[in-house]
Amino acid sequence: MRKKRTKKIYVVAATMTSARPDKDYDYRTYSAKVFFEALDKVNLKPEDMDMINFAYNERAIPDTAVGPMMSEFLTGCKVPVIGISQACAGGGVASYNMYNLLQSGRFEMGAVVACSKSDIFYSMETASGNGNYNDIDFNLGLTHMMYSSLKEDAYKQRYTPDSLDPAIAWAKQDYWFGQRNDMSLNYKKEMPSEDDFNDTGYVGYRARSASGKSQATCLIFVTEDVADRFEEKYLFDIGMGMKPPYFGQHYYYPTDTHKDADITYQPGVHLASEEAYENAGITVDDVDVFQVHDLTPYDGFMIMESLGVCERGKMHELALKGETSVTGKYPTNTDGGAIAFGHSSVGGDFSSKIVENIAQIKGECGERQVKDCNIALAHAYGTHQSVDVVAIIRREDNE
Amino acid sequence: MSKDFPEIIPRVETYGTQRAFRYKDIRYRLKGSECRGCKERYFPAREGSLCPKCGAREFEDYYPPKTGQVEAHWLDNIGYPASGYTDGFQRSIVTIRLDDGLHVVSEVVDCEERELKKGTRVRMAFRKHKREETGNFTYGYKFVLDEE
Repeated sequence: MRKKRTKKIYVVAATMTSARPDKDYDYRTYSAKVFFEALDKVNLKPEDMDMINFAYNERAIPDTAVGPMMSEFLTGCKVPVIGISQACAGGGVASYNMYNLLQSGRFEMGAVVACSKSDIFYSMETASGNGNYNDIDFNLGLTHMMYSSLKEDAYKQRYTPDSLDPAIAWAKQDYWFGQRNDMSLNYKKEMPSEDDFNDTGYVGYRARSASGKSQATCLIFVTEDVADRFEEKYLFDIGMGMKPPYFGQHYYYPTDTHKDADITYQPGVHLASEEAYENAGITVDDVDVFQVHDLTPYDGFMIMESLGVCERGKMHELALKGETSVTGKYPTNTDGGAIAFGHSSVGGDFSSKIVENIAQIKGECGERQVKDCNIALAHAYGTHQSVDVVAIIRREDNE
Repeated sequence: MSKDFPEIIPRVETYGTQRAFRYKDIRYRLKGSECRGCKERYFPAREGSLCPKCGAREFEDYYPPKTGQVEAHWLDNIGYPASGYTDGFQRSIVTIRLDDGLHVVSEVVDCEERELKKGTRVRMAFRKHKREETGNFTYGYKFVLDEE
């Protein structure tokens, strides 16, 4: 049985590269850039870290010893580095692991460095199965692109069969935020046209779904034992949930937590959020801003429903009403989300949302700023939602 | 190297013929598993694992019905065909609920996407899959419309 949270864990520094990198670095250099920037922010040295988790994507970075590689590159072999590869949720899984390491009492400070930078020539889709059960599904020509699309089409067919309007409303909201975020892939860019949004083929798919990018992020975590040394700190709580990796088993898996699910409901999100809410001592109603992993608008609907924001099949109505806007009841993806900020997989899909949430809590987001933002939620999933991570971040006085 | 084996033998482990052969029943006959404890059924076969429902670790081979209905479908037309399938572009990717309730993800062939909707009856067909890295073709399950 998991025990209740015993220590407060804080984020004291969070850094990321822009979603529009101007130079083509290797993954080590990308990672070092954010790591040293984060350390400099809080006057720490690499050897002050007790442990570093390095989240990466094994289908993009073929080095077989990323742990030692990054230990040498970031700390001169002074600090152990553990490589964690859990697809797009990697930064979140590495943070979950760090959170629990620090809870153990043996460590006081640690970093989660995450990087998505392809160091191989072949595209990820070509080079690997890029899904699960590769020995079965990949031979059949199935990849995670197809799992995601099946999932979103199932939602569409069930709840919004006659209209793309809710999906377009969600995507447009992402673009509105992304156009105003100077770190985003779509900063100051034009929004796709109405024709593009309404297209039912490739053009529409591109307009309404995520664009990939390379990115690196770094989060520095400390326990309450040493938190007084830092002026700026944010309470951090997290939960993680799993779902069966074979896509067919996403229907009615025979366990208490999954048996009522199908592919339009995400029990992993539900499990992760329950754990995060419990650790933080809050409910979904306390959350002021949401950052969710929306590779498509339908992803966004399903995740928000599974977080407990509304009943199943209702989020598309809230999106149409503008409730995900900066003045709406559930401001969502104020950085632009995966659709407009960019989808960087393990490098940013979790950690860049923490950076955005801290900026929201500090009130630094300009036009994107959510009024009275005190408690912020970040979600990421990996491998067609077989792993979900949900984190809550807030100021100390909002505990 | 030794006197008996003067040549360096590289260790190569790809998706090879041996593994394709070992798993052929899953691809050829939709082989799944039935828990000996609670009789819960799973696809694909999960020998060596545990039953998520009751925790038992013993399974018997189980071959589900080869017919079912479309639960969700999607036309793969977005420009990222999987390696080995670039000539088969555009494909109808489906989740199928077999007649015993198990769900399988596959492709429906010999039909147009517009013929598919939730509830469309399909049956398993034996078709060519992707080539192994050794160059051999593998074969296995896909689905076609069940006209009867």
